[in-house]
Amino acid sequence: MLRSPFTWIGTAGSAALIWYWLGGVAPILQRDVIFLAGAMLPLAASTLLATNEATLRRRRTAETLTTVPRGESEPLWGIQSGVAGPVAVAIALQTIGMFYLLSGGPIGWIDWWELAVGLVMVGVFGLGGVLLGSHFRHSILASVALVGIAFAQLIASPDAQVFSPEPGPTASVEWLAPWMVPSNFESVEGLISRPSEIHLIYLLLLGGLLASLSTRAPGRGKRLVKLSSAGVFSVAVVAISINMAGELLTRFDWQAAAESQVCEIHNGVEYCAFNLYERWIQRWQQTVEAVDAIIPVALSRVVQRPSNTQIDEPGALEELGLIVSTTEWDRGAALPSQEFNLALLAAHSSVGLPLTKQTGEWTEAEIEAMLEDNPDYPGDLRSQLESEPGSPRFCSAFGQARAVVAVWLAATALERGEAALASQLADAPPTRHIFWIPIDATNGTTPTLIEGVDAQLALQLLGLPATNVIDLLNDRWVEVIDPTTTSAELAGWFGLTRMSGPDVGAQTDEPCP
Amino acid sequence: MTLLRRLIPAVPWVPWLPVSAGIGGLAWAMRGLQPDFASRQLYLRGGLLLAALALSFAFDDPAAETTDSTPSPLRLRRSVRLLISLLPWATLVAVVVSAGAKNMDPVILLSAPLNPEELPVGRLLLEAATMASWGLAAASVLASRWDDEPGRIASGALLIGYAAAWMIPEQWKPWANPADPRWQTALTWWWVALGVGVLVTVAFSWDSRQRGPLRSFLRRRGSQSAQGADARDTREPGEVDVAHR
Repeated sequence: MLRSPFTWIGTAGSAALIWYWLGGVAPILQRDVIFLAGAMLPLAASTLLATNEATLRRRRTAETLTTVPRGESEPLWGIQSGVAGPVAVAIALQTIGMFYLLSGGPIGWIDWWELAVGLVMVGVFGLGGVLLGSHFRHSILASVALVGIAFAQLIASPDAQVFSPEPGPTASVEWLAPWMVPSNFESVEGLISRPSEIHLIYLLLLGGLLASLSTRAPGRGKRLVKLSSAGVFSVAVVAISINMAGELLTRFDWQAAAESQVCEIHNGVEYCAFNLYERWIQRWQQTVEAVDAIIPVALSRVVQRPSNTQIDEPGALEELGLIVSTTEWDRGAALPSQEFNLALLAAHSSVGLPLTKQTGEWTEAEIEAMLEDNPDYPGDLRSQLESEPGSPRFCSAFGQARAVVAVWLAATALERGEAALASQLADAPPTRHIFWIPIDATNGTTPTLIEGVDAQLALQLLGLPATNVIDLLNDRWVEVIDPTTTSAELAGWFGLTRMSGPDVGAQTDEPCP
Repeated sequence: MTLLRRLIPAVPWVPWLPVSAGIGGLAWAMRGLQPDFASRQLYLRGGLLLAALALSFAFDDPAAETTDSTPSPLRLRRSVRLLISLLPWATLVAVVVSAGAKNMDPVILLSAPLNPEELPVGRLLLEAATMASWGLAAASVLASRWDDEPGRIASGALLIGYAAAWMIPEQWKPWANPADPRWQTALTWWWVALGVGVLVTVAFSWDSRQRGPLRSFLRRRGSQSAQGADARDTREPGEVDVAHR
């Protein structure tokens, strides 16, 4: 199997996937081990193609093989044992991956059950290829089976919402997929509730069943035993699926975790992290202090809160201080995208922009826009929106000079800040000139909206000597932090060119005070 | 007509059976989906991929050793095989697209701006043709070099290529939704990919003795320059070329 081009291509695909998923992030072991196992999917798929091809080749040379004095099933056993080759490659890839993770200052612990899934998956796929080849004479079935598995994998994804209208884990089916995809709505802590052991045992039994069904047993009795084993296996799978859902829907207790956060005070700023992320406090501190060294920050607390999970009372969010809502951080040598986001939030405090969302009601412009978007809404949408209590809202810093300064400050404070800013600008939709800060606006705690045209000005500002910029900003500091000073005026001070973009007056979001 | 009559039973029909079943399953699964392209695109594209996988077996010719010596050239035999195989392919593509277009407005124009309830049928057909051409290109390359039954490797190669295309960095990825800013850029990529697929298929489906139009052209150029060299030979009559003895 090792000599098959399919195996080489699959190995390259798995290596690429490892790099894609784990290349630039600071390792959190129990999450990254799952992705390391999932990265074996290309190798597993190519192993299925390779074993299927080998089995079909055996059938094409059946006349030659019958002259060799050996049992009918022996060549199949040879191919089945050949699956050990790709499994060995998977072991090598995962070992390299683990070394990479361990060398990146990891937090968390290794879940060996999850890690073993990658290897077992390669074996099961290989045995599946042999089964298809031994019972069907055409290789199209291998390709169709792979497309089917890919769809099964997608449908069993906890976020697919095929079997449940609610977002979140629908564990009754996700464990039946070759790889259990982690939910985007589930935190790293929530991964503990995955049925890792059951999934691995299921895959091992499935592999054994595929291996036994591939060979033709002499005698009706043995054949009957095999078929009944397959039947018992299927019934067991269905029974476990039905009984598993309720157990797995228990979620991580964020309230309790928030109450037992680890807090440290450094240079007058209190940093609070969940237990798992305790070692990241030092990284946050370094980032905040890098901004503080250029223009002082006005911060007393940096608090970690999970995204999309409300564990604070309404209105309490504003009192928390700077909120770190991501459970990702950048690997040492990678582009500092998470670090840039944190630096930008710290820079918000330097220039007087809000650090958290502010409680507010719908503006007239927003209500009008929503009425226009929902003409068929059943009921009186306007009165419903007007009567809604205030909720946490982001504000728009579009066209404000201090927004440009905040972006510039964050990029200047970091060693590769300019590259991080350029990368975030490149990722923003070019046609709309919209640039959300932080770029992951879906995390629920984004306090401000900064437009791409203003971020472009910050990028231009980075081209000027930092000392000249700081001197001029200090001279005009009162104007800089004034919300009425426009980014166009700031561009005039430094002789920058403001790109054409959407009209400031056309914005519907509440301007930042 | 004789060639057509003889080739109809010789074209591999088995691949179409599981592929038809798979496409039927996808069409059934699409019934419960929201009538918007974003929800249905994976199913649509999966169905088109399955059809292309089956088409990549079109050049499988176990009797190639015998038929190679017949007066009908390879390109003619391949063309007839392709025409025969395009019939089930087109049927399955039509099934996929019509299942996907249920409760949606089909739009044939390739670069038209689309509303969420409109299905870019023209773009899907372009994608289907491109995938099919790449499967055929892989099969024709394999058939000309190594194998009389290239479909099994070509289908695997198409599958791997397809999976690899999803791993391309976002800014170059050929897959796009109408809402993406890359929707127009992706169109260019699909046209280029289709052109490459068709060119490779044609180039490697020429008669094996001529080794494709490119090689025959080069060979003609080579023989012309050899003749030119003979004409410029300034040796005296009777002088012997020692190197060629």
